[in-house]
Amino acid sequence: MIRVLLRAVLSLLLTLACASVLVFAAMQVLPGDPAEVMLGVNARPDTLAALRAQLGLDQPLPVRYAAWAAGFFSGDLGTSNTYAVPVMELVRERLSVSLPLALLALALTVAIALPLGMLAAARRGRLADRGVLLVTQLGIAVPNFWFAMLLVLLFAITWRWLPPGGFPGWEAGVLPALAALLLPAVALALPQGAILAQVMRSALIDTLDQDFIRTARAKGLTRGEALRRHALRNALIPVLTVVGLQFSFLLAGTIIIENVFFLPGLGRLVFQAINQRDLAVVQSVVMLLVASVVIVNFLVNLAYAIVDPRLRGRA
Amino acid sequence: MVALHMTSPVARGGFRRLIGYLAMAALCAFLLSGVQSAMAARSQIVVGVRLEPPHLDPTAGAAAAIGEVTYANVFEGLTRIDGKGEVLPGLAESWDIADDGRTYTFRLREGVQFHDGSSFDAADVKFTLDRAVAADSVNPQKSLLEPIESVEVVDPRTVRIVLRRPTAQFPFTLGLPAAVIVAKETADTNRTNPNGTGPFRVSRWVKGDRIDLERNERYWGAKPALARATFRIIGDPSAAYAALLAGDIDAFPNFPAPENVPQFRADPRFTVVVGNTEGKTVLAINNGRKPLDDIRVRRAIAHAIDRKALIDGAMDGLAQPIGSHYAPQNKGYVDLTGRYPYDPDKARELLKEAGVPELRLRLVLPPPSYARRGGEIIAAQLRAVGIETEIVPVEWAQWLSDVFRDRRYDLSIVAHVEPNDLDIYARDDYYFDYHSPEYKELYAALVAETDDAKRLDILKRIQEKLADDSVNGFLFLLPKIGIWDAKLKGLWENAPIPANDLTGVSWQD
Amino acid sequence: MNGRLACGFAIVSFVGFCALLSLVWTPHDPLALDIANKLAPPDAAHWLGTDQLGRDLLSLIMRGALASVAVSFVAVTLGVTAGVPLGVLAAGRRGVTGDVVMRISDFLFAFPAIIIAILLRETFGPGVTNAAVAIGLFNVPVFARVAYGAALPVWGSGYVMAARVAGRRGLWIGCAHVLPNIASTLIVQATIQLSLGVLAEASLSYVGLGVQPPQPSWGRMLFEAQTFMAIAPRLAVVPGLAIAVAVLGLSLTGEGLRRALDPRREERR
Repeated sequence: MIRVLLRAVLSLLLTLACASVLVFAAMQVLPGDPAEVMLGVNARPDTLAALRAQLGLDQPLPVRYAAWAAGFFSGDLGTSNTYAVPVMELVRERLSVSLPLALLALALTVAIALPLGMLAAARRGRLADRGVLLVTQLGIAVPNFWFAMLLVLLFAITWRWLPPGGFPGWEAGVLPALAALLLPAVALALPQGAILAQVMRSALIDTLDQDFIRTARAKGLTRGEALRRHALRNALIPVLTVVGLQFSFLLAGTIIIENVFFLPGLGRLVFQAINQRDLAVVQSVVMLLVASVVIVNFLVNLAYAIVDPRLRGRA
Repeated sequence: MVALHMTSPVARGGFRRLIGYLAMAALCAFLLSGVQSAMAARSQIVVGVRLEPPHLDPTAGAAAAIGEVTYANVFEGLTRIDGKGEVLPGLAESWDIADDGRTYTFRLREGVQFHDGSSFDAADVKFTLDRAVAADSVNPQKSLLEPIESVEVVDPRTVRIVLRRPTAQFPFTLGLPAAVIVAKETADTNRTNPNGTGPFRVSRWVKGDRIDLERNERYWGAKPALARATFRIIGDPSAAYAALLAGDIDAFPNFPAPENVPQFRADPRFTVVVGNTEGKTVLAINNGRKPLDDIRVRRAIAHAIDRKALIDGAMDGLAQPIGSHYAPQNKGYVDLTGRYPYDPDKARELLKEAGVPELRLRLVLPPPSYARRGGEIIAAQLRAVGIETEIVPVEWAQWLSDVFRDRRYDLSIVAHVEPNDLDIYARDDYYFDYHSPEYKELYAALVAETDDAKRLDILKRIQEKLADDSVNGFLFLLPKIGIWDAKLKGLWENAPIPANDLTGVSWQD
Repeated sequence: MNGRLACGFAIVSFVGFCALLSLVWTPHDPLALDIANKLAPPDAAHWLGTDQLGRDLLSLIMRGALASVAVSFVAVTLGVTAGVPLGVLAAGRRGVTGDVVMRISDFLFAFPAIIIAILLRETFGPGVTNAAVAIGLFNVPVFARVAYGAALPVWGSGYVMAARVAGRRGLWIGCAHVLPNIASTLIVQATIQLSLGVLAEASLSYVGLGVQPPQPSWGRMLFEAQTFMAIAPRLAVVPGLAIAVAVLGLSLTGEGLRRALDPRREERR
């Protein structure tokens, strides 16, 4: 068991090291000069050189990589070129938007998926099931940024119920802040909810076919009762796996939605940083996102290995 | 657990109940939005801006967004530029120019304090200007401030500045955002914690969303009517539109989507002012590349451009055409839009004469919609005379390195927003790659000339020279589309420099 | 053929037909500007009206289909040609090779796709080939995994053992026995990836990576329509619908194929 754990940790570290090299290398081939972007069209060559030196861009590549990687793995994400504040501070600020948004979207996703998935599984093959399948397939087919545009048109421009974008900050009160996150969360939740509903449905159907459900039915439970009391719990494992994946997607994959709603989230931070060539921010945040996915995967694999001895060899 | 609980009405088959819940949620949201708008009091304003400043020190960054937030509000210079582009006294109450045209003596205002409580005096002026022209300076207007030879503190209220050569525009230059006065002790922290002399101080910056200003109660001059001001960053044109309609913002001084103007004009809640900027929008031509070095080819391009269709399509008709690199509102403007009028036949003829019946050019377009949408129109107009273009949309970073630095382009569309920037055609290192000894002579004469009438005459010849040589395709002047609450007064109608001076803004209820 | 498959196939054929037709014929020249007639509402000449530069919206949609179809098709081809051999090989070797292949695909999955796409756009340019490569890149691990999962039991089956005993080489077995057995799974997955590809192409061209102007693409049309939402919602609604219909058609086809090719599952319905 210890050997397995050691091997897994070693491969985790190797993966992170490879990822960091890749991310750093990607920053170097990115065309465009950070100093030029910061100083604009009237900058003179000596001004540019002065700024480059200030940013440490005049040092050799390996030195810069080592400095960044050493800092990153000891918790120092570096300093943003454009904002001139620690990247960590920016990330923390942005997470106060992205994290609640991802959680809200996830809650809505589950709120969409659970009833739909249960309904479809309970009425398998009947009209309700077919209806759910069609609706979920439609939900997956609709581009979420288009859906977001339609939501803005309807709720913000036509009816003026909810703000069209921006984020007032949590100090403006919980309710206005939540109101600003509601439309983006709905836009994000629609396709994710549709996916999860399909997963939910097939997971439920798989468990409903298993023997213990038949036993339960034989003991006199109705189909619905069996579904709620027994099948739901057992279907939870595949569903939770998908939910976990969706969460990491929601945290990083919301750039377009954040742009549509003008939310100061993590995705838009990276987007802006790429355009402004704020390499310190881009490399650290991308690395952070990659690391979080890799580590979550690692933990999940480990958990599976502990639960299921058959998988130990492959953890 | 919450999620499980929520499923129960559906599981029981109660879809109607679910709809009831949804309706309740919608109602709550509706009430909330009401609370939000009722909170807006009348001594504060929310101003929409398109771009977030990377930091808040106008002496250390070129981004127009820095000046749009800080200029005249947080930081002040020796002189100040008003909404008409006139130079007024700022931190200097008066100045004299010696007969040699090189020595300026500024009398400074008394009783001026920085936000941190330290007092402003001549030493701050010397520090600021010395720092701006120093070898390791990162000041974006270093080339305009470069004539400064020395700055001397005569006494705490008097500063003498000696220039290397007479520079007629010097008082104007000192009024630019990049020349605002900073305190030595806080110069390095101004980026995040700006310490100026202005009537507002920065109270909070929620990065990516907004910057809050509050009134500086110790301000030396007349106190502004506004107690608080918020700059909300809304780059997306459709979000800007929605935010204005929803009342989330009170003013958008530089509204990005001309196509939405008719709706605001029809709505009595809003004032719409289409003013001018210094943004000379040009189809930049790489004069150094074959066959664009041939004046006939450049003239053909000029003849191929239909400015009216371009302005209608890209700017919804809201822009003035220009025929040279000079803004119509400025003194000495000559209308040269008729020099090479829209004439596709003539364009084709010129191309044939130049021996280039077939031409394929690389049209590099930066992000603003005037460039992207305008680029598609220009491409179609050029195609009509037999010039094919490859459209390459880029972000600013890449535009700067590809077009501006490396000159890897044939054509590009960009608005030159700096006032008094005729020097760029006299610079050998500039991306147009235009080298004309006659022009350089004219420009040198313009800079040295202090007599107004003679200056205007040279200015006229300069404009004609640029139009005749067809250096670039001169398209239109970027409008400043200001949209704000009809009860707001005192916002700038024009934008001689990128700024949102809030000192004179008030609500008229 | 089940109803879902028929329905999906009909939609896909229609979209494909429009895309191909646009090469030789559209109601109007999709690139011709007519600024005097911009934002015109639908009429007899322009069935869907004109856009902000006076182009015929229907013609733009038809030509835009071409970009969607082409990009997602190339991306899937890329994913199949690189991913399937990797997966099959990994399944055949198991052990270290299999581990490494699967580790690499995990590794690729860990990168946030849209950020990588934007980085690719900035580095290699915004062209259509790069969009196809970007999407294809993320298809590789998908196909590798699916092929791996499907091929694993086949490699362990009796007839593969028999072939091994008969002295056949791994490559021959892979081509002759494994591939035909996993083909149906792959076809289903390819259809699903095609539908995701259309969606991805729309997202990427929304952020500027893909077919470049003046050639139209659905995603960029949506991007440009945003400021016209209040004036001409049609400009945003139509391309969005086109994307949704194309994706729906492909996913219905995929789902239908899965049922048709996997009778065991069909039985359980």
